[in-house]
Amino acid sequence: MAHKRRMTAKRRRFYDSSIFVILSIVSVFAILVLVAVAAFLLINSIPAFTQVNQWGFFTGTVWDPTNPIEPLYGMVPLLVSTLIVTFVSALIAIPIGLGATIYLAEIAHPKIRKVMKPAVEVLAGIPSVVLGFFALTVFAKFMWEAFAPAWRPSDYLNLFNGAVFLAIMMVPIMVSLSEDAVNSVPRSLKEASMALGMTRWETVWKVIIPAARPGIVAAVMLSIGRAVGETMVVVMATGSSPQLTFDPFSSGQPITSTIAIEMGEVAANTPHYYVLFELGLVLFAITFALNYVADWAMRRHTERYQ
Amino acid sequence: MSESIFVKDLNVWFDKNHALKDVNITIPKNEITAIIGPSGCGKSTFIRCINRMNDLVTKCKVTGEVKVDGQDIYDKDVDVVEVRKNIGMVFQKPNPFPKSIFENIAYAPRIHGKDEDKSLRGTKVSKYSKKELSDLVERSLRRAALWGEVKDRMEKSAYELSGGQQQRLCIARALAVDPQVILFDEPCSALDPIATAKIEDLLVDLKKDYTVVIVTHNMQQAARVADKTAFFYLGELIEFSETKKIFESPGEKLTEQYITGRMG
Repeated sequence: MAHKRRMTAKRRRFYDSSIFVILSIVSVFAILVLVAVAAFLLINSIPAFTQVNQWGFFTGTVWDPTNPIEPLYGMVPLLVSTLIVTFVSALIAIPIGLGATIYLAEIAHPKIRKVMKPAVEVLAGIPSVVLGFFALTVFAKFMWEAFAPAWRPSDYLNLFNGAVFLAIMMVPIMVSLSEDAVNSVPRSLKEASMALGMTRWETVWKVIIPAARPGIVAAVMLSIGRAVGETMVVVMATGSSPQLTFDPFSSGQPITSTIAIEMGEVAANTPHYYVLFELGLVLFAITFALNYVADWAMRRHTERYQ
Repeated sequence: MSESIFVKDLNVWFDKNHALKDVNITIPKNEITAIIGPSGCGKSTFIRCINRMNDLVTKCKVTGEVKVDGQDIYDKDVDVVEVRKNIGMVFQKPNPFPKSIFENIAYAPRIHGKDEDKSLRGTKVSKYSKKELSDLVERSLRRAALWGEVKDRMEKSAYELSGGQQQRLCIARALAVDPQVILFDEPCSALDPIATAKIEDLLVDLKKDYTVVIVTHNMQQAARVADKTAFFYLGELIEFSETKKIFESPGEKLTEQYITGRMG
C-alpha cells in the first residue's frame, strides 16, 4: 500500500511538471514570435538608415519613391493620412461605442441585451475586405451625390470614406471590451449608490463609469490600435494618393496602404524596399505605444483600488 | 415609543417564488429591531422592501402597505429617491466606492444638495459649500466612530482601510444623507469579532437618533443589541416581540426550535 501510494505521488509530480514545462514553452513561443517580428522589421529596415536620408524620411512632405530622377521618401503625407483617418474614425466610433456600451450594460432590458451583444460581436467578424468593398461601391457614391450640387467631397474616394468604415470596425471591439469592463463593476457598488438615493443615471455616471474607466480606456486604445493598423478598408476606400493633405474629404494614403500597395511592386533590396520596412517599423511603434498606454491604464487601476 | 415603520399584508414574489407571505409588523422608532431566521426565510427580502431596493430586481412583485413615518412608500406619487434618502442601508459586505475616504462620504450629499427647510423636502435645495461639506464629512465619520482612525488620510483610497473600518465608512456614508431609518443587512458577517464588537457598540449608540433594523444570522448578536426581535421562517413572520421574550420564553414552537439550534 505504501509502495503504491509513493508511485502515484511520483506520477502526479511528473504530470504536474510536464504541464508546467509545456505551458512555459507555449508562452515563450508567443513572446518569441513578437520578438521575431520586431527583429525582422528592424533588420530589414537597417539598410534604409544609411541608404535613405533619415531626416528626409521623417520630415519630407513628398512621397514619390518611383521618381526616376530623384526618388523622394518623405513619410509625412502618409503619417498625416494615417492620423486623419484614425482621428476621424475615433471621433465617430468613441461616442457611438460608449453610448452603446452604457445602453447595453445598464439600460437595455435583459432580453434585448441577450440579442444585441452577440449581434455586435458578429459585426466584429465582418471581413474588412467586405467593408472596403461597400465603402468603394456604395458609400463613396452616396457621399458624392447626397448633398450635390451644394457640396461634394474634394475627391470621390477620400479619407473620410475610409474613416467611416474603420469606425464600423472599431465600434464592436470597443463595445464588447468596455461592456465587459462595465459589467465587472461589482453589483454591490451599484446597490450602494442606489441605496443613497441616487438615480440610475447618477449611479451610472458617478460610480459605474469611474469604476470601469480603466477598462473603457483600454477598450478605446485597443480599438484605435486596430484602426491604425487596418489596411484593407483604407486601401479600397481612401483613394491611394500619397499627397500631403489636411482635408479629410480628399484622397490620401495611410502608411498601411502604402506598404500593401507598393511592397508587391518594388524590387527587392532597393532603398524603396527597405524604406517600406522602415514604415512598418514606424507603424509597429505606434500600435505598440497605444497598447502600452492601454495596459498602463489598466495597471494603474489595479494598483490604486485593489 | 412611537412607530417608525408600519407594514401591513406585505407579499413579495420573485417570478413565481412567493418570498414573503402576509407580513404584518410595526417597528418602533429609536429602537433596534433584529430580524432573525434561517437562510432563505425572507429576512433580506423584507428589509429590502423597506427602502425599495427590490425595485432593482426584475420580476419582483410587491403588494401590501409599507409606511415609513406615516407615508406609504409604495404609493404611486412617492419619489423613490426621497424614500432611499430617508432610509439608509448598510450591506453584508463592506462596499465602499473606489474613491477616496472623503469622496465616499461626500458623494451623496454633493449630488443631493442640502435641504434648507426640512418641511419643504426636495423643494428648496442648495449646494453645500466646501466648508459645509467637509464639516458634514467629519460629523458623519465621528458619528460612525471612525474619524480618529482616518482623519489624517482622507484623500487615501477607501480600499486601504480594514474590513471593519470599511464597514464603518459605509455607515458614515449612509449617515451623511441624514436618514431617519438605517437598515443593516448582516453587517458583520464578513468581519472578525473585534470589528463586530465595534459595529455593535455603534449600533446601540445610533439608536438614540435613528431607527435601526438589522438582519442577522448571529443569534447572540440579536440578543446583545436588539430591543425587539422578529423571527421569520419560510417567508412568514412567525413571532415578533421583546428580544428578551423571544430568547427566554418564545411563544411559538418554531421560534424555540430555531433559537435552541434544532433548526436552521
